[in-house]
Amino acid sequence: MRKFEISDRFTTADIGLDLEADSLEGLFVAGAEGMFAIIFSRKPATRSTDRRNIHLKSTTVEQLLIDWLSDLLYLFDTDGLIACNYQLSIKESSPGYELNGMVDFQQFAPMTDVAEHEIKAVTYYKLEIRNIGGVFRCHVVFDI
Amino acid sequence: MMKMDKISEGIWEIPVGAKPGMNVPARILSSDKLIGGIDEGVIDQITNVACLPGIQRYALCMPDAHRGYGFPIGGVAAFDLDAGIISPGGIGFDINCGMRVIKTNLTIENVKPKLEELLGELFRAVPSGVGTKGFVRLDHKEFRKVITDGSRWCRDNKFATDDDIDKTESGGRVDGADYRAVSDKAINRGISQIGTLGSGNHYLEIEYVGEGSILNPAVAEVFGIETVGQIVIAVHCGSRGFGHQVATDYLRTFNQNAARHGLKIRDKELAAAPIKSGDGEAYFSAMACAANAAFVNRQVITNQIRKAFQKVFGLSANDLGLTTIYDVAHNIARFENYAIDGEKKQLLVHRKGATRSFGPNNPEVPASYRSVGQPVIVGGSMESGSALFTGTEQAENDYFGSTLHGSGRVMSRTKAKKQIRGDQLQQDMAERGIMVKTKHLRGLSEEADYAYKNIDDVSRAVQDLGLSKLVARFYPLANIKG
Repeated sequence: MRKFEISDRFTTADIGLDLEADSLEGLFVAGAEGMFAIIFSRKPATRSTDRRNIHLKSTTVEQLLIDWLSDLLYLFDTDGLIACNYQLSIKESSPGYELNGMVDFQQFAPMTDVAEHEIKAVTYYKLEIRNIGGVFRCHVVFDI
Repeated sequence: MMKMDKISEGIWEIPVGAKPGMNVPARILSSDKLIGGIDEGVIDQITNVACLPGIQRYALCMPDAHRGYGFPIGGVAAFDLDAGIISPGGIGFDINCGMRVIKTNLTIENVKPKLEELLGELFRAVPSGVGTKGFVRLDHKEFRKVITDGSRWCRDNKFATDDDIDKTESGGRVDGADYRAVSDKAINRGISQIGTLGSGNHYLEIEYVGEGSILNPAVAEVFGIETVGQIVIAVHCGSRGFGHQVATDYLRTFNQNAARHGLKIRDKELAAAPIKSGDGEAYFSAMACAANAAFVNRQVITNQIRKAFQKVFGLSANDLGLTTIYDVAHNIARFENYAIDGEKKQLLVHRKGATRSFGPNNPEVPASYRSVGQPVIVGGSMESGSALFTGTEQAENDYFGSTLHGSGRVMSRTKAKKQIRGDQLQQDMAERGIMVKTKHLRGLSEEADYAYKNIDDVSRAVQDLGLSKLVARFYPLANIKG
């Protein structure tokens, strides 16, 4: 189970996401799916894909989520890559957390893909990942 | 909400002690009409700012303030160089987001018959929206020159005149820029975006001087605003992906190193480093690079605007009188001198969604404007146009030379979008004589006038407080929404 909901609970000028999943990996995937749902008002048509390995290490799980989403944003901004399929593994590693993933991307097509919002950055604002009874939840705000 | 005391007309104060750890009071500059609209997020954020080490006098909120991250938008704070900090959260992700206004000698009568053609030409000349790239092709070596030299790079490459540079804050170059403080990621994100507007609330607008809207004719004349109906062009944008990545990189570093610097972080978006530390100095150098990139971005856009006007009107930019009135940053940190306890000292002033407001005789003001003060350009919504102010000595004496930056957002994007469909809003505006062109019509209503405070209410508050003086109001004729 994983889901995201676009929310403006904590922001006036920007856009946030409520994320929920039954695993940390699911929460991270929901964050990525939500982020691209903010950028694209209509899901881009499926095209040929490019597969990349992603490896990240961060001191906290919240920092790891920011690093993960910021990396995807960077790949979109520089190479026009839209993440569309995810195989992630997240584990505690001293000190902090480590993410290993294989992500499929498709190429942004500016003439046909309806891109609505440019995301400047992923923020720390109100970001706290909680695990209550095996359900992971957090709110993440994007600077628009 | 935390209790605020009205200490004089237009000034509300939250005293030291209202929140544990406050080093100075927080002051909200507003008006009786606007103060009720201040949300709790602003109060929470500005009182967090008041807790930062080395902060001087008070943490300030401008009349257009709204909730941001770290600092509120409209937040101003000045820090002692020895005891104080520098924080990316006091500047924003869009480093040197700012405003430029360009005047013309055209009138509404000259432009209206060609407006559609002009808007189309500008839309082609200035790329906007998500994922767009600029016309300027740069390799890494050349981009390093851009971020080091700022607008001087534009002059050397024929994108700027000497007059453009003279009419840009600090000549379009913040001292202290060092490309070695910038990550490869930041360069990769920004290298192809010079000359692009971006998205969100960024725009390029053709405006006119309205009937009865030259409020101070003597100062307006000095700025080149002379007749009702005169056409001006307003540009609002910043350092694009380059600046966003600089802020992202340093927030991460500052959060990681906070304990090493002995700093208690109250809000991760307010992560900071001592000004006189390796981290603090590196961030200032990187921020200066991003500020320079933003000055270059707006200058290259100016050059594109000139080309578009030349093409449509068949006259040179000189013949059309396309001259920069001023270019000013509203997300930046600057070293400036202010009197503290009767002693003049250098401080690091953070302005996040706030503009410099230097009065007459300040040597930082271009010589041709020095008798009247620095132009302050304030962008409203795409339906309300802009306002041109002049800086004041009072702002320098009482408010760290700062004033407002816009009309201030009051409604969230999702809520704004639910009020009216983008295509309906476009049609409504066309009926009122405002043409809009955008790549994504669906998002247009996010920037509708009702999402912002009334620019005239905010302008009145600013004028009454002496933050800056209103010179003229410009009204929209056509808008390219990023």
